[in-house]
Amino acid sequence: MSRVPDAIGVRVQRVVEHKLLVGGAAELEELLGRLLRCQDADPEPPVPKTLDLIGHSTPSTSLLQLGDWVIDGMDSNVVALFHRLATNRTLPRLGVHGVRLLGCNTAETSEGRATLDSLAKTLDLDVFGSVGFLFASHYVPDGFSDDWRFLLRAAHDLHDNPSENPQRVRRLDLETLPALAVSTAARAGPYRFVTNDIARRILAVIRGDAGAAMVGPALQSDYQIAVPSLQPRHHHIIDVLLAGRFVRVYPDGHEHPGILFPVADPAALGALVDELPLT
Amino acid sequence: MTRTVFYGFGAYVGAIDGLTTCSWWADDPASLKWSRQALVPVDLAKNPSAVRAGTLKVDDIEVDDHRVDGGLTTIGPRWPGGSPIGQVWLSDTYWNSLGNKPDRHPASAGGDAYDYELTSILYWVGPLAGRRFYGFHAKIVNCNGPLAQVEIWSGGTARGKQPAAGTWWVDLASSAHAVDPIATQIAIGGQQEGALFLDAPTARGLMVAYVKKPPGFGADFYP
Repeated sequence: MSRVPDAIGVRVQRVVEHKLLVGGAAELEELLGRLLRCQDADPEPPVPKTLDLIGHSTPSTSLLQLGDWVIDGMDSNVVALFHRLATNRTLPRLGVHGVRLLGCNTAETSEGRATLDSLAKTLDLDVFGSVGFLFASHYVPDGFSDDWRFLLRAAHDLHDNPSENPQRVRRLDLETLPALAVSTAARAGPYRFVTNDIARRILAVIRGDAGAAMVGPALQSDYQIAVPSLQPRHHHIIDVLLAGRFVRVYPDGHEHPGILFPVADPAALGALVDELPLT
Repeated sequence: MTRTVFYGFGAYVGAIDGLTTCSWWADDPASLKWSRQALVPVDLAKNPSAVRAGTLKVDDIEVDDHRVDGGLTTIGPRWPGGSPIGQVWLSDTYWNSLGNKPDRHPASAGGDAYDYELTSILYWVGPLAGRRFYGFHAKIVNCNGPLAQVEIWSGGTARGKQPAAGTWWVDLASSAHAVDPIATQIAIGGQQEGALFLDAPTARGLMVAYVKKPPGFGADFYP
């Protein structure tokens, strides 16, 4: 909590039972170092917690201020401090799984959002700011009251917005699929390895103009077809689903949702691959 | 009661009476001439979370939970500090009990949505207990085996002739709701265009905007 002797700060200090006052960056870093030494000497694992930094925010930019220190994620000195904490794993070793910048509107300005984003990336932790004014009545003896958590936003909440780009029907283009070394394929086997000739005949029974992502529970593949790519020892992977009624491919990469294509003739698909050994 | 049906409204809070109680206009207050008679009262604490906490009966629910608790309401949920403009999802029981019942479709956005796009259902008992379903407008464009390929519109936009938000394969049997008569209308081999009620995880997976009310406000994903 910021060591600022103004009326609002004093009211918050009176409500919160367990708090530590800091007047700047050096004091915060030193304090965390002391806490870490205590924790390292304690045989008990740390209690999961958030690091709540409580203070006023700066006029117009709404950046949290602790004493004379403004936490500005675009300031290299600020980033360096949090980078040192990340390098030493100071916060995870203390059981801290998130950092909350509890000043008014710290998630409302572009500077504030950039700071949340910068700190979250540097620390690899959830970092929260506020989307409103914070008062002493938002605090209880344990700290910031859970009843008012709707006033907080995580850095990752401030990124994603519903897509303005419609999810259009996709076309199947084998050559644009990622080529993987099969042993490192994200969704491993069993595989049926096919030749380029069989691959062409498989494509002929797939309705390649009717691809779309599937929503709902992901379907388990029956097996996977490995098609040779132009890259040596790499293959394009096709999942076969629902007894050959569908295939699934990953044109946007295996870390993204797959695209399902209906199979016009599951029996013909089966005839092409069923005799091939599963590897 | 086995389920609670919620109806969505855009809300402009016009009076605050307590920590969780307020009254709101269902349309731009300027268009309603700031009429105090048009204010709709609600206690934002009379929500499904209170039922789960054992402090409220299901029949007494007035409003869906706030988004932070997995519901669709975005005003409040506490004062001061809560959001004064956003969405209120009233239980159908409470809406029917109101003397000054707000229209399901305000004059300022009367032609945007079908009723079912502004409807969600939360089940309390039975095989669907604990599951939430959100209404969408959808059109089946393709079928293969158990899956239907459907065009789905972003919440609350389909009647306004907006294009569909996209096309997806859906297992209607597992992800859509085909039991309740007020819910999903479309079916493989049946009605091809109309209401589609998707469960919450599936709706979230669409990554499309949920009901944008009041119309001038930004959109968000389904919770």
